[in-house]
Amino acid sequence: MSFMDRIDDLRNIRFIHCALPDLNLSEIKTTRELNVNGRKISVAPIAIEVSTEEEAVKLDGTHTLFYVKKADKFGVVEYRKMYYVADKIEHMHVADGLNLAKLIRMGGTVGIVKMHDLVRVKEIEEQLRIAMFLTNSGDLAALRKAAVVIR
Amino acid sequence: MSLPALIPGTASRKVEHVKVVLGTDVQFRKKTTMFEDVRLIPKGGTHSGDFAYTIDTNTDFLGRKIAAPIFVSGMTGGHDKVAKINMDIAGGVSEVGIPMGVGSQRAMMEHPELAYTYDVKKEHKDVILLGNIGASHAMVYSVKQIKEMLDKVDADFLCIHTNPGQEAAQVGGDIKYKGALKAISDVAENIDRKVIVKEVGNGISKEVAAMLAKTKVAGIDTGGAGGTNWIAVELYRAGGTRSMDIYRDWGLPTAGSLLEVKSAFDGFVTATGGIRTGVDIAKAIALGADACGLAYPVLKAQSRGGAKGVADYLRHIIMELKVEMARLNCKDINELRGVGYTTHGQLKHLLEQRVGRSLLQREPA
Repeated sequence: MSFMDRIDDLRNIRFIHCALPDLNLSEIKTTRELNVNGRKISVAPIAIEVSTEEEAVKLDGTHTLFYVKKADKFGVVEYRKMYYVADKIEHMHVADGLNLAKLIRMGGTVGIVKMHDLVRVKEIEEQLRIAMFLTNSGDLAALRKAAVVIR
Repeated sequence: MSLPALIPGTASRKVEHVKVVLGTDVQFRKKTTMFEDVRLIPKGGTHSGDFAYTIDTNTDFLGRKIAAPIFVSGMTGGHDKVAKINMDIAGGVSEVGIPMGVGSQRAMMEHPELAYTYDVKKEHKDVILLGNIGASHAMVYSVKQIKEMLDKVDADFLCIHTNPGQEAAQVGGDIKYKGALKAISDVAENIDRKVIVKEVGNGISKEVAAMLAKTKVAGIDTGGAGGTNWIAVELYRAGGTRSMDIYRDWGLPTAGSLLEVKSAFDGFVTATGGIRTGVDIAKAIALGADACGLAYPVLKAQSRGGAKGVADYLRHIIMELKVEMARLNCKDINELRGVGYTTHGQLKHLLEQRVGRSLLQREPA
């Protein structure tokens, strides 16, 4: 069964609240490591959708993950050049950080946001951090095991 | 008593909280307590027409005898404008014979002159009083300081509230919870009163209950979703921040939380969060709660009718409970605890995934 088949609708997934997380919000690690150009880089699990490499190069942004739609690949821009991620990326478009958290819980790697949501990336990352805090998940590996109910 | 003209931070927040809860719709919208998914099965037998009036609702609250399995959950304190609320509630519970809590006593830790806003026993000595401190503050204050805080108001028990959801939504919220469980455990181990850990509207799960079961905590209050939504309160206060808006319906409903806690914790358990009728109380007791906490409806009753309003409301809900017990043919709370039940809909679905089939239903005793 493919990743997309496992997720019917993210609205059917409900996290179970943890009333006593053993965490401080600011210490939660929301990044993941990906293999790019022969080395590991640490990025937030959010990719901005662009049509072409050139669009991504124009935006640049250190350690910003891009989803190049034409190539159907994920990559980062370094020194005005696109480098593609070597890892397999299970992905979906997400509307907010809670959806992103659900996606990661169900085995996804990265959530994609459209270009017009570029300004919301920080907000989405903060929403992800809140979901992790309220499920006692100190990092993305812990979030993968967070308690959920699936309708 | 005169106060400094401005008490920023903790104290003024208390006044705002009361205003928002009474003046704005901050109840859960999409999420209910899930008590509507519980059906109680009446016991066999017939009774005379005046049966409801002979029903005994007396029960035990951590070693203290109370008139009914209800208490008023801690809500407020820490500002002159809310002092009357606590005193009126004390007047009402004193008449009826049930316990009450006060809101977080952090304000009097920061400003000792505010102790009077929690000190209901100076006028109502017979009240069974639950003191209150936050889990994040239990990490800051020593057991000695917390004991002195309780002694100043002659509190009988200590509630430690945990509210990470509310803190996350609150502007300037205290979002450090690392070590909170250990701090709670240390307090429960060393303080001279029984400790109840409570949530404030997002529920206690079986995982958290299991952690608390390993400590000397005497009781857990579910503080489940379905009633007043404290994330919504803080969103309103913040002018509606988009970031936290998606968490507005976050939390474990009270009925679900109650059964999760019962599956992992053998101590005293109370159900709070959206309890609105005598039928809700009967269901919670049948599911295993030792008592139910009421907050918002009591606050409304106090705002409309003072101490008399509180007493009238409490008598009304106790009568509702008696009518439901009469329907179930239960003459006392012990019989109510043995009533059979079935679960349905979303609650059944939740239980199947979370605690297994053993708690889905029960045959009558």
